[in-house]
Amino acid sequence: MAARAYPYRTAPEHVNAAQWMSVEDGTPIGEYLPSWDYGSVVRLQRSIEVDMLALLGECGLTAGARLGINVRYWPGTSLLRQTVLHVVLGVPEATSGRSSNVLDIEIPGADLAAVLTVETTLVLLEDPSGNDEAFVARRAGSILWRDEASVRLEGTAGLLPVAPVSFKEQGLPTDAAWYVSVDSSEWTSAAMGNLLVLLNDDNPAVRKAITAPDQPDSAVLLDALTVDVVCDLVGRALLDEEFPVIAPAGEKLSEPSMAALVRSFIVSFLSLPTEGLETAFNRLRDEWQRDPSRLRARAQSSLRFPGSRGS
Amino acid sequence: MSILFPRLLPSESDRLFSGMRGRTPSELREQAGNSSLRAVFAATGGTRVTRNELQLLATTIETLAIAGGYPEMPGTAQRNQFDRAVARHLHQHTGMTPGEASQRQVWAFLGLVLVPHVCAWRFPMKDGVYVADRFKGSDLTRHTLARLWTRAHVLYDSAAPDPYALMDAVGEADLDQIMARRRAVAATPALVRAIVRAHVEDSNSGEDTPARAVLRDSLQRLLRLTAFLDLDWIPEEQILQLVREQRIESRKHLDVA
Repeated sequence: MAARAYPYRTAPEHVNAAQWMSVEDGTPIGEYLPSWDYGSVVRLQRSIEVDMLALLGECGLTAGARLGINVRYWPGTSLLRQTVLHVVLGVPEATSGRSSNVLDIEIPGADLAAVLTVETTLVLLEDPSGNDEAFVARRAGSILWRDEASVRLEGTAGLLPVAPVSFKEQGLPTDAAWYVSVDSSEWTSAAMGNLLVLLNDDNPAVRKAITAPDQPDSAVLLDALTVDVVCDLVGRALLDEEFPVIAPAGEKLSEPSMAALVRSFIVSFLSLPTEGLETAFNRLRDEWQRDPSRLRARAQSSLRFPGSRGS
Repeated sequence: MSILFPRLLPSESDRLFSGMRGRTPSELREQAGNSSLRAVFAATGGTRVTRNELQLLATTIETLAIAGGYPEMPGTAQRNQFDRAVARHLHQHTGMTPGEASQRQVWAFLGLVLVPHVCAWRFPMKDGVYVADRFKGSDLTRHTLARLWTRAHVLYDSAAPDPYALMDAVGEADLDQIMARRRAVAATPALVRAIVRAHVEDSNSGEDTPARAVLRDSLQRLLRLTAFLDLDWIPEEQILQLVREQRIESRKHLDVA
């Protein structure tokens, strides 16, 4: 996140915010949310504690100033924001001067696509004292603290956009299960525009996996798909001498490129503990040429194949 | 239940757009269709739009283009009339959710498969070349149809007798200034509505400095403010007041200059 310079004093050290947690399973949200679609609701929760007395003092605001917390979100491919929660902070606890809050949000799945970004801001609502000291926030809405969390969505595979099609009509092998459609010459282009996993609607097992993903045999099939996609995309990168291993400065998570997606696969599933990305990439490139089965086995192990959906 | 639209595969978007080079809207009409073998739907989350529904959408858009003079080159008034009518229709009648409207490949399908001839008429080629953003969905604030859905969505006011009336209040150039060139401003729908309302008030005030000059100067001021203000929670009346203040400042500055 780029640093911002505000035209007034702020005191971010007096705000202590926990990570956003998934209400469904009580775990912190990671890089992606599984099982999102337009019909679902994304339920998140976080706690946030504000040392009101210290913060007001350091910002030059009076004790009568009122503060609020605002939570807004937007999908990665759109600029339209929505406010999902606005909380007015109450009177702080008498002895500690702190205000503790639990933020619960519910975001309609139909508003989202590709990547969800959630921004939390602590804002000045009003300072009735009429304080006109220099470098002190005055306007309603002045941001005193903010943070932003992004999480990838898209498709039942969590990380990847998938779509069921008739392979017969597409001219693809008629009994195949899936096909990874990707333009790998465009590593710096947005992954969500260049990558699509096609599932063969003509294949009964695949059709069943789409309609009943929680059935045991469907789960095994989708687990296999995940491993295959990771190995397919990483394999393409390892064979391409022009793959940009180092992320360019300023690369945005809100719209990950194909290269960023491959890098995240390597870091999440294929690198060794304490191994840097570049070292891991070079090692995997050797391994892919010498013994590609070993890389596949490593992916299976990291992705807990088969059975990750049941665990 | 959400309505799911076809998503054109990226390689097909490139292929179809390349094939448009030098072809007139009338020639492009021959390749228009309501399906593509290289288009797919999201796996879950809604009901797929049918071919008949897509054909009806294509016919409606084409009819609105004909009302605007298609296939002859449209004038400014005809372009504005077409944009407003299509924006209303896309937002009101297609059942497209904000999530689906954020999918670039959905707009690529509409722009390159369903009504390429209408998009080509609305944004004609220059020196035999069309602008890719107007067809492929690579920038949703510039795509011929996506930008219209977004405008309708942002300016929709459910409390008004005509919820889409704000779209009719400003022209293409002014809306483009707000939606495509000041994206931090455009991200807050209530702020956009306030900007349009204040602009309409000012346009009728009979002041010497043109309202458009005031709009552009005040947008710069608002852009600077949104860098450190979170306005999304503020009631619309207060946001309108903020916009009016900025316009007063702009007018003073421009009158002096």
